[in-house]
Amino acid sequence: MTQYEAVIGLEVHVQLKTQSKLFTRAPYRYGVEPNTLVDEVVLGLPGSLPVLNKAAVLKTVQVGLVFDCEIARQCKWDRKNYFYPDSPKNYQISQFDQPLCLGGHVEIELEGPARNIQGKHRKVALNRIHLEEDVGKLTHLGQISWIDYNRAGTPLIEIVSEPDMHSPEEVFAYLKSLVMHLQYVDASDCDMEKGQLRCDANISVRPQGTTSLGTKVELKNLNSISGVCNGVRHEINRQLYAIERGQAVVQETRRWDADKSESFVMRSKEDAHDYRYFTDPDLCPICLSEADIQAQKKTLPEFPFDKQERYLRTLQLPYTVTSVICPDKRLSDFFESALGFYAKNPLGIANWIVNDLLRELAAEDMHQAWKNLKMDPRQVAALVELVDSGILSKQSAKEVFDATFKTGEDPQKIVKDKGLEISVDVDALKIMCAEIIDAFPKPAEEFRSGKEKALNVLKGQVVKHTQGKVPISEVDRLLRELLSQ
Amino acid sequence: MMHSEIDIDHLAKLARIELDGHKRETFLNQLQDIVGYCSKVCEAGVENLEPRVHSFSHEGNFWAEDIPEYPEDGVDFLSRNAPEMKEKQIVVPRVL
Repeated sequence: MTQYEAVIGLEVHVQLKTQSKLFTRAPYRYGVEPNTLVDEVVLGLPGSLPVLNKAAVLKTVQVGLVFDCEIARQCKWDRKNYFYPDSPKNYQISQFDQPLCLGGHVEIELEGPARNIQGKHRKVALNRIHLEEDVGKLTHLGQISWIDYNRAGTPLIEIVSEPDMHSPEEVFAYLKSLVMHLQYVDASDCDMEKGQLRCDANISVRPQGTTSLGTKVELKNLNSISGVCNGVRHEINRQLYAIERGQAVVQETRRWDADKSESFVMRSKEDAHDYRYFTDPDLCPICLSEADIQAQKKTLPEFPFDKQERYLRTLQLPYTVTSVICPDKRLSDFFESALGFYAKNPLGIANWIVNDLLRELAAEDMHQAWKNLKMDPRQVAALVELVDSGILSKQSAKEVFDATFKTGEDPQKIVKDKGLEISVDVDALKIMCAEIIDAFPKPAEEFRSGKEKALNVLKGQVVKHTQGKVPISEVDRLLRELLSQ
Repeated sequence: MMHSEIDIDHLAKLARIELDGHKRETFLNQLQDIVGYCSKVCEAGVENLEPRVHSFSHEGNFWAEDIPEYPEDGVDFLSRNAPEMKEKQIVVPRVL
């Protein structure tokens, strides 16, 4: 029986995080009163002229550099003509045959065999990245549609991959990597709920081992990363089912309905020539020098996969910890900043961030939580240092963390105010250790006969009796000394 | 000759408008006039001439810094030109 493989290419639209629109100073904000962020340029009124937003071009160049694209030295603007109410001008300013970024690739990490094992990496080839303006938002209500043009004219990049993915899992990894890298360079927040990232997928199947492409179906309305994967999986199965029954796959555009987990045929797509592209006569071409491109290169941060490699090799952090910190630039910036204050225990700092800080931040809206965060990296570093130097027990450190997170007060002050410093009266502690050994003869005997772990039971009892206000290293030393006598 | 180059029915379909016989003829004539006028430019003999001014020849870019400016009367302006407005949104027949 013939084995088939899926071939998938994605077109991802990403709203760039600029202050103003692509060709005018009108701003764009999500959730603002409808039609308040429009001006004569957005509406294409007679006599208005577009003026290019420099930041949008430079951000696109940055994105192109992140994905190793060739950056065009010269490129022009084209009008893509079509009549649909979401376009106020009846044309969209885009880049047809001269995109700003050509080729390139996106490095992806596939899921590993277990959560704590790093997955395989591969590169998904890109075709191009071009810059264009977004259209307005339509809300369909029965026989009428409402139009809000606030979004129209917002800078949008279209990242077009080659048909170089072969499973929903690769699609998932690709989108995750795309979002991670775009957030790293602050090109976009990529919030799919706010329409900042939208995705269409081109899907076909072909007999395994062949190289020509099968008939492709374009899938639209993929509104979440999991929605993209489910839609793609469903479409692959739909095509395989058709082939199994001897039916041909029809080239068409289908709309994914996430609630019904089904896709439906959409209007037939106009052929490319029906857009009647022509060079926009109101805009000059973009000219970029080698110096312009090098200047953008210098602004780029260390990329997340490189960072992860460094954390694994140099800082010896476990993969699970790096896989939480590295994809989130805010977390990794926080971690590195803390490390700058206390470099002796990277894992100690990472653990507080990955477990405690992240848990507290996730308790409310993450974006808002970061904004309201009172705890700073220096305080996390101080907390770890207090524990490492034997001043604060691990048990009490939790209490200090909570207090610092809530109030923003320094850990040193909280420790002092609450009297949490470990005070060691070695003689008294020795007596207590001896009493614990007498009270728990079984673990004491087990330890003496070589069962190392039995010591933990005794240590736990000492900690319990001292409310954690003793250095565990000292308890360990005293217990061993007494048990060897 | 010009008549066969303009597929008015295809254009009407792309523009999502219906044209009756009279309008069809009117627009066809008007479009022919426009194309005919523009084709005059093509008649100029420029084969052996170097461009004197070209947008690619300039140094630097015509672009502006990313500084937002709130439009003063976006929605009021729109409402004066829109066929129908509801809750500050333009209302149009549903187009699929």
